[in-house]
This record gives sequence, structure tokens and C-alpha cells, in this order.
Amino acid sequence: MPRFIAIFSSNPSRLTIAQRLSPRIEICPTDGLLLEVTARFEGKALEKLLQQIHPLKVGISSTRITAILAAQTQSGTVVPPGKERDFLASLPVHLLSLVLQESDCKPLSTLSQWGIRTLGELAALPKEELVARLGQTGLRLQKMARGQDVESFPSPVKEPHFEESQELEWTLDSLDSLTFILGRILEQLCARLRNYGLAVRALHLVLRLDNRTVYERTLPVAFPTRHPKLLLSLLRLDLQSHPPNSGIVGVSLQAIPAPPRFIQYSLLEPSLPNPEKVSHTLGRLTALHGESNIGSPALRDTHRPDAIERAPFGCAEKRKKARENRPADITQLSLRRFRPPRPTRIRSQQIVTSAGPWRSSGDWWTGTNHEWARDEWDVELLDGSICRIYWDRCKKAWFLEGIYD
Amino acid sequence: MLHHALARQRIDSTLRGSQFKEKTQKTFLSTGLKHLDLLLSGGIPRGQITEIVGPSSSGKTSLLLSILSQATQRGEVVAYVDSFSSLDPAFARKAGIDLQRLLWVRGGALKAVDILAQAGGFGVVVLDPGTQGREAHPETIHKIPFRCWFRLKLAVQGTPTTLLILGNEATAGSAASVVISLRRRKAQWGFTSREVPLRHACLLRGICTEVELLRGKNPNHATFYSHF
Repeated sequence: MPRFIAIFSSNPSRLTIAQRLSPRIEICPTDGLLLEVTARFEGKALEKLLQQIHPLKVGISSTRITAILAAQTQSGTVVPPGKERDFLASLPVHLLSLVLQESDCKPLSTLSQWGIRTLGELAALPKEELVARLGQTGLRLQKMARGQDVESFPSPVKEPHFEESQELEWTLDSLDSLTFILGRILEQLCARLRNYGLAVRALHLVLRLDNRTVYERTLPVAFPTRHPKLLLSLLRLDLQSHPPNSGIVGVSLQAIPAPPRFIQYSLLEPSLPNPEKVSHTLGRLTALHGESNIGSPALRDTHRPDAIERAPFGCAEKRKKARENRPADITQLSLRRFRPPRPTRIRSQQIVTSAGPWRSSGDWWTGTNHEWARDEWDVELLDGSICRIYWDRCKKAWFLEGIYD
Repeated sequence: MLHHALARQRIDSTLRGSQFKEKTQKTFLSTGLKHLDLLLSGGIPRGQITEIVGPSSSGKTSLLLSILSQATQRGEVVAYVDSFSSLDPAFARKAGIDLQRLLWVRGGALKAVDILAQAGGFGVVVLDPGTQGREAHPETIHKIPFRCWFRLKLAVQGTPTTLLILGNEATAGSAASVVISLRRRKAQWGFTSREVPLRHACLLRGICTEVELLRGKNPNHATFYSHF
């Protein structure tokens, strides 16, 4: 669970000091700063802030609103998780004006006319009746009085841009020399990402070539990682399968960041493959067979036959519920497809048994060439195979779609 | 003398493989079919190569999907190397496979299987050399040198990975520890009328398959049904 530290100070270097402690900083009203830290780091961060910033008003809580009010009213207060409402209960209602815009403060005077003096009294009001009188603003105020966050504050820092470039004094022709340079760039990028607590989701490589063209590749990574060796290996595999067509005079590498993925292993569940190994394996397979042929199958939300797409393979962590129990000796019949379906000629002498037709059609409403209409048959042939054939009503031809197996 | 004997024993164990692998307890992956599990003395053995062979429409793909379904429902991830892109994901999902746990390699063959077997961590790796027409493609499956199968056998040995090979006939030779042969006993149609020359049924209900264990501990027969 994240913890929020609210600090109020006139010290001009407060933002710089705060950025050293947490990458997640928000600016709250009345010129305060909110730092998001982990519960383990909370004590250490407080100690450093007290040492480095003077004067300082500070409050710590699991929600933004409680941290701000704790800093403003009783500096140095650490509100334990789950005790936010208890802490706020005795504070006067007008303190909410510290975290509200001026235009939102009007309902506070209404509450004062009703005799609501403390946040505890506001929190105890019946929700439906409060909404009936004050609308959604009333509900928002009550949530704040209960110590719940209603919104986050804007961040003072722009999203960091992870890109490193290098201009070369001479033209590079071999992949080995390029690998050496990419290795150094990746180490710098990964070190920066580590400082921000981020990992690489994808790499965007731009090479300036000596024939005045630009070579660009985007390499997605199966699992967010910040291991420079693994990323270098993936880049190398990709460049081996898609080499630039001329000498290289400039290198630029951008890392697209994502939060790192943490897997909770279990003693009772089968172990998942190592994410680094999976990324490397997928990289090798992609170099071998192309990106469009590697991944998990996904079904489109349509009745069109064989409407599938490729989804990135990511080792889903959550297990799906087991299907309903079938009898002990029955399994699902499956179809082996021909992609694309094979044009075929039907001779009635070859067919032993048949079932059909099942007529289906779709996408006629789109008015494009994607319209499909067909009559399906299941047929058993003389050689023993059971096939699915169909008459394509748009193309006026028979096709063999697959074999039941 | 003793030193010589110890040295010889060490060489022997090196040649046989590590001692850890020898002591590893044999584990099985359920097929989802009770009678077939009994026939296989518990299921498909892990860390070994198993071949599922049979002619077209014998039910081998249905059996394969049932095995993959069992593996993904246990929380394992599986890989399907599909040389001719013949897998139908809609039927795979109907069979109970968690598609997010399935890595589908289209157009791949032995090299892709080798990479996946070396990577480790996959519960099942399937090599489906495909059916072009109604027979396994001769150039895909029969030109594979025998040593390649042994390389794959060593790659999965001692790991929890099961390597399944689909085909019309057994090809991996002695590298495969279990060979399951399937034969279609009959197709089950919903209704037939004998009055018309072309027998017309109202529905294909499924296939009844007879299983024979060509190689394994308990050579015997079993039967299972593949239904819609």
C-alpha cells in the first residue's frame, strides 16, 4: 500500500530534495508537496526530510487528504493505515478549504449553517440525504471527511524521456561494433530506469545511415525488464534478422518505460517460465519465424469463421476457472483448419455420409468486400476422413475448410 | 584399486547423465480421459517424448487439446509449434484451453521446438508437423535426422516439460518413450436415412476412437469419444 507524505515549507530547494526521495510527486493546494513512498521507506524518508528541509510541516498517511490535514494541523503526525477517519473526526470542517478550490468552498458555509462543526459529524451524515441537498459536491466533501481520496493532484515534473544518442566519428559496417555501442547505451538507460523504479516495455532504435536514410525498428519486450544484457541480446537477434542496408553513422535508442512486473511464486502452483528466458526465447522465435507468427491466439468478437488475431504472449498469472466436468471418456471434438481454405470439387460418389447445410452470413451491412455468406456441410469421405466443406455464396465455389480430428 | 573403481564410476555416471536426473521421480500429466490415464499408468510422462499417431479423423487433435487443457488448467504454460497453422483457437477454447497460457508458433518446426525445449518452464511443447492433404507432409517429418530426436530427448530429460509429437505414423523411433496410436472406430451421426442413395444425417455428433499403446509400460487398448 502506498503512503503519502505531505510537506509544507518555504524552503526553495524542497522540490529538489523531494525528487531525490520519490519519483512520484504531486503539488497540492497552498504550495505543498505530496510524496508517494512505500511503507518500508516511510520512516527513512521522514528522517531525511526533517534533516534537510527547514522550516517543515509534515504529515504521513495512506491517503492524500489525511496527510495534508495532518501536516497543516499537527505537524509530524503519522496516521496509521485504516485510522484516517478517526484522525479526521475531531478536525473542524472549514479545514477542507485547504484542499479545495475557492469555487468549491460554498457548501462549507451551508454545512456551518446546519450546525456541522467537525469532519466526524460530516462523515456521519446519511449519504442519500446529503446528495439530495448538496448534490455530488456534498458526496465529495463527505468522502474527504471520511479520509478517502477523491482525486490526485498534478505532478510538477514531466514524464521522463529515456533516450540516449551517439554520433559516430566513422561508419560502422559490422553488427559486432554496433553491439558494443548499443551495450553501453543500454547500460546507461537501464541505470536511469532503475532510479525511477521503471523497466523497459519496448525499445525504439533509430540508426542514421551513410546513404542519408534513417533505419528504424521498434522492439517490444514480452515482460518489462531492465537487464541490459537481455535487452542487448534481443536487439542483436532483431538486427540479425533485419540488418540495415548501409553503414551506420549515428545511433539513437529510446526505451519506452513501464512498471516492472513482479511475480508471486507459489509452492502449490506449477512454476511459470523465467520472464527473462521467455523474452529471450520469444526474441529467438520472432527472429526465426517473424513477429506475426509468434504469440497467443485470441478470438475476435464476431461470427465470421476463423476470425482470430495474435495477442502478445505474456504468461497470464491468474488461472481461469476449470471447465465443467465432462464424463471420464469424452473430450471436445476439434477441427484442423486449412489456412486459407482449399478450393475443392465435390463428387457425390466420394461422400459416405453428410450433414448440413448450415447457412450463415455476416458483414453485409458494412457495404464493403468483407461480406461473407456460406453453406456449411460436414461430410464423411470414402477414405475415412470427416471434413467440413462449404459453398461460398459470394465466390460461388466449394471450399474445404478443415478436417475433424 | 579403489581409486580406479571410483574414477570408473564417475566416468560411468558422467556418461549416463547427472545423478540428480536419475533420482528424479517420474511424474505424469493427466490427459483428462480417465481410461487413457489408466492405460498410461497415470498419464503422459513428463521429461520425455510422447508420440500421438493416427490417420486423419482419428481423434489425435482432440486428444492433444484435452492434454493441453489439463495443463493450462493446472496453471502451466504450453507451446504449440504448428507447421501449417492448422490449430483452430475457437475449438481450443471450447476444449478448455486458457489461450493466454498458450504460445502458438505458426510455421515453426524442429528448430522452434528445440528453442522451446531448451528454454524450459513450459509444461507441454507440441510439435504438429501438419497435414497437407490427408497425410503428414513428407518433407517436414521424414527428413528429420534421427539424432535430432535424441537431442530433443536430452533437452527435456529431467525437466517437467512433456514433448508431444503429432503425426500419421511414429517418426521419433526409440527417442519416444510412449507411442499412442489412435484409430477411429466409427463416426457418430445424429440421424441417417437409408432410403436415399446419399445417406443424409442431420448432425455430426462426434467420433469414437480406439487407443492402442504401441510403446509404453502397459500395452493395451482403451476407447474415448470426441463430441461437439
